Amino acid sequence: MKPRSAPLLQGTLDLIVLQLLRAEPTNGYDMSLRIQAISSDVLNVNAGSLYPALYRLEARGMVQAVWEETASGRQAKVYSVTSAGRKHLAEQRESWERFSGALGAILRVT
Amino acid sequence: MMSEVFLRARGMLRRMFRRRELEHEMQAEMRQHLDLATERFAKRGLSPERAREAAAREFGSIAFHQEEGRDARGLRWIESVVADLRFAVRHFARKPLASITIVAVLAVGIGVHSALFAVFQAITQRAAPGVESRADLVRLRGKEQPRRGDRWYSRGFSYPEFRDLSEQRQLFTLVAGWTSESVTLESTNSDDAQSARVQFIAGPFFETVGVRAAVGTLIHPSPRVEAGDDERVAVLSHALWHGAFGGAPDVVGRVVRVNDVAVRVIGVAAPDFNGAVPTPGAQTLWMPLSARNAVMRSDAQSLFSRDTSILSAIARLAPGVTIERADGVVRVLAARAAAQMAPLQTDGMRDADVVPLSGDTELPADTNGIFLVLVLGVGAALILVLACTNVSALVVGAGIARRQEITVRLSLGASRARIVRQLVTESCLLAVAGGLLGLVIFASVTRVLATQYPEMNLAPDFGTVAFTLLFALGTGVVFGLSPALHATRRDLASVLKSSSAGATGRSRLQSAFVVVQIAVTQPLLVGLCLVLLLAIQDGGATISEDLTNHLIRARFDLDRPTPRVEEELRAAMRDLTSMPGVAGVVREAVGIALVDLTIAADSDTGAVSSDAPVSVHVEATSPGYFALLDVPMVRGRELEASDSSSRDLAVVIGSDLALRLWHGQDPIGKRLTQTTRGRVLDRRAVVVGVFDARKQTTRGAELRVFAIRAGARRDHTYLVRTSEPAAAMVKPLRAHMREAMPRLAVGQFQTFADIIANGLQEVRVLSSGVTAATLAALFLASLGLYGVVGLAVAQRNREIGIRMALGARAGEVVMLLFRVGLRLAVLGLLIGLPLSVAVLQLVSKEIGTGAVIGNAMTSAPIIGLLVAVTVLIVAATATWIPARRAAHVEPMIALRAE
Repeated sequence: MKPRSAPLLQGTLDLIVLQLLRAEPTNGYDMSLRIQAISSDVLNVNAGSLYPALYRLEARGMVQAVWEETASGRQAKVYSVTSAGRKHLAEQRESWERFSGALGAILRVT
Repeated sequence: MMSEVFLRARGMLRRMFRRRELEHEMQAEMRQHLDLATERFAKRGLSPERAREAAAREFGSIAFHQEEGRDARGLRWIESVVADLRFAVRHFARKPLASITIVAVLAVGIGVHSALFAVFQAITQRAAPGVESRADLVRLRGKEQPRRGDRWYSRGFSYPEFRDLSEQRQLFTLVAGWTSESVTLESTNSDDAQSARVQFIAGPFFETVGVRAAVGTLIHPSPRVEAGDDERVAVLSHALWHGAFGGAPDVVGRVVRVNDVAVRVIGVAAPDFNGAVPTPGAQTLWMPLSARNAVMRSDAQSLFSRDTSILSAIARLAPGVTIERADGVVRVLAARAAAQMAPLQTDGMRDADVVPLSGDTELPADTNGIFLVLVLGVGAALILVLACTNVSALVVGAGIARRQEITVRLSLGASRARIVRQLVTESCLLAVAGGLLGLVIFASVTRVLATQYPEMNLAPDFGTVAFTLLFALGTGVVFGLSPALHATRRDLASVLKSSSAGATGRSRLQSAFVVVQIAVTQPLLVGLCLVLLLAIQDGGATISEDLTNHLIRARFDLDRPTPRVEEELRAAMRDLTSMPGVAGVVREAVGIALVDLTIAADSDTGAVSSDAPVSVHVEATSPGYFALLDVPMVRGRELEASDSSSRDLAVVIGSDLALRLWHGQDPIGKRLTQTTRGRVLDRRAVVVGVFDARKQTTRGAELRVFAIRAGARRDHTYLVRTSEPAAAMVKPLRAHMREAMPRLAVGQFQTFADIIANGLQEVRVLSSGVTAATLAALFLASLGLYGVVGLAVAQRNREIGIRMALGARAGEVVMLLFRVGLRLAVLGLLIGLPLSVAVLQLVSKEIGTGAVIGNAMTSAPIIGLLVAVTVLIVAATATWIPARRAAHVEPMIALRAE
């Protein structure tokens, strides 16, 4: 039986994308595979919803994209984080940690 | 931080301009993803079809993600704006007449308003044409108050005073001056002489105003004029170069004769420049001040006297110097200079000030001019208000007519915001189209005006146009928005069912627009007609055509003439009488002052007139003036030389003034006295003659009294009555005078036909301008009416259909609608009536006294009636066209809407 999948929290996808891209620039397809792998299929994300998130981040100047040749010889759009994206990620991660820390504390105490 | 902004900006631009490319990119990227996923599933052993299905499932809805993607890129609004625009254009194409009407109203409103505003600006704010516009360019004005508390009049600076000003190096970087004189100009290759104006300039004149040479070089007068200096060189204005020299490229180096003095042309000034202050007439040349003695035959020493106050001055402020500071110093200098001048005979005083060299800098402040500016400003504002009222009425109407369409869209699920945006887009589109067309109108109107008034700087001003455009755009948006908001708030079902219920409220608003508009148009038209009438009467028909062709005005500008020179001139003019072709010579009358006169206390009965004083021009004249002009005396006699020394001042008055003061009694022997301070008439006046005021003198149509003035007169203008046609006599007369008085400046000889033609030219321009404004106002008002009635027709389509189906005839339907339109027009006229009366009173109070305004006022009811009839006719036409169309509505079409 597959694990129960949790609905994605608003804005979380942006955070995941930025975090993944910070490690290494990559294209949309590879990123979707990695999200599935890392989140062990817990997060219920359509592969397709990754793209609007990427475009939104691109429009806000958090990521930038160039068409590059991949290892397999295809043309693919490769995304990377900009400095603004890195800054945003740091902020978001901090606030997420504060939030989850507080929530965890509450759940442990009661 | 910078790079982030840059990235975002670049991204935005890219998204806006590479919409198609990005769309393509997105689709390619998603397709590639699906291909890769399909490959992955295929490797796991699924059949190609299954693999594709699995990939699609994993990906989710492609269409949904693509839409999300477009949203994320911020492209949706662009797409919908494009759709809105496309829809708007299609909508307008379907209703071309309504759209064209709105665009035309906007265009006329914007064009005429901007043009009027440009004139307003040129008069009030701008420097003369060709003068560099800069904040540090100032005019130094000498001024003089004849009596303490009186108005300030302009006074020239003497050359020594000008020198003192020039030496204020801590205040001014450049100081220049000029004095204008009328001269006769003869170019050597034609023996035809023409009158022209010379500005004798001192200091770096052209440098100060920032004018360059179009051909050759400009004059750089030596900073100091010495007694023996005499530089006989001239710079021509561009217009004079083209007018008198045909724009010949080899004009530089030619020798021309200015008042019979040989002068070498060294250059031509840049186009448009005709003087540092707005100077009408284009025949200007500039010469150094040192040449003035020779050209004007003046006393060589007079220039250096502190009492020869002839120079106007301009300057550039030194960096950091404010006008206030400069003004303070200049006033101190003026006080010092005044102490060294011959004292004024009255208790008046002399002063000076510093003002920016922009707009009207002349003293005394011209009240007629101020009134004209006021009329212009108010007229411009009214035109804009009219246009905007119209546009709003038309747009509101269009909005109501589309209620059903809007409701259908709403019920199909369109959001309210989406529909409001659609309507606003349409308004903006119309506003932009109207604005562009308005620009074309503005450009052509100002171009025509600029050729007629070269002294006005009418260069297009971006600010004005932008303001007008924004205003029109704002109107369109605001009024486009209001029906949109109303329409979208409606109960869908009721609107879908019926298109006529509930429309009354909105159409009442529209009717109010029309009434307001007609109420505003009427006084506008009345005021414009009155101004037109005044202009025509003032400058138009004065003396009979036969007389104008046999009358020459000879003017001599004598600079501080000695009594001997004056006597010589008088003798020479007397001698002219014996010349063949000359019928008579008399000194031209000259205006002395405008005074308030009232009937004097009668020495016999002691009765004092209870009538209000009458404003009258006092004219100094000489014996034989009326006889020469064929103006008969209806009572009494003409003035005689001995009248100047009589106990009471003998005067001749017009029959119009006699009628006004004595109501048909014989005025001979009756006395007049001046009511205001400042004794122009030093004694009581006694009427010795009454001339026929239906015949015109050379002095215009206002109320006048003529008297012989004892003592010296400073003007030297004569009237020469010829028996031969006057045009042919100008040359022999000039030749004769040149021979008789070689030491005198030649003087100006002009036939009255020419003088009147020049005057008429101005009247023609003014009246054409006023006529254009009047027509524009009328056009706007009629379009407004047309729009409202058209709307009424659209709203009552169903009712008309029923009436027709029940057997109403077309004529009855037309009358029904006709009554609606006419009722609005009459209501507007009634409301406008008090406004019109107020305008009449304002005009009569602000300009003119005497016969002209009297005539205009008597004809005011006729003007009012004419305007009312015109408005009614226009209203009737504007109503008739849509009413007729309504009568031809097919009953079935109207009823099918049920």
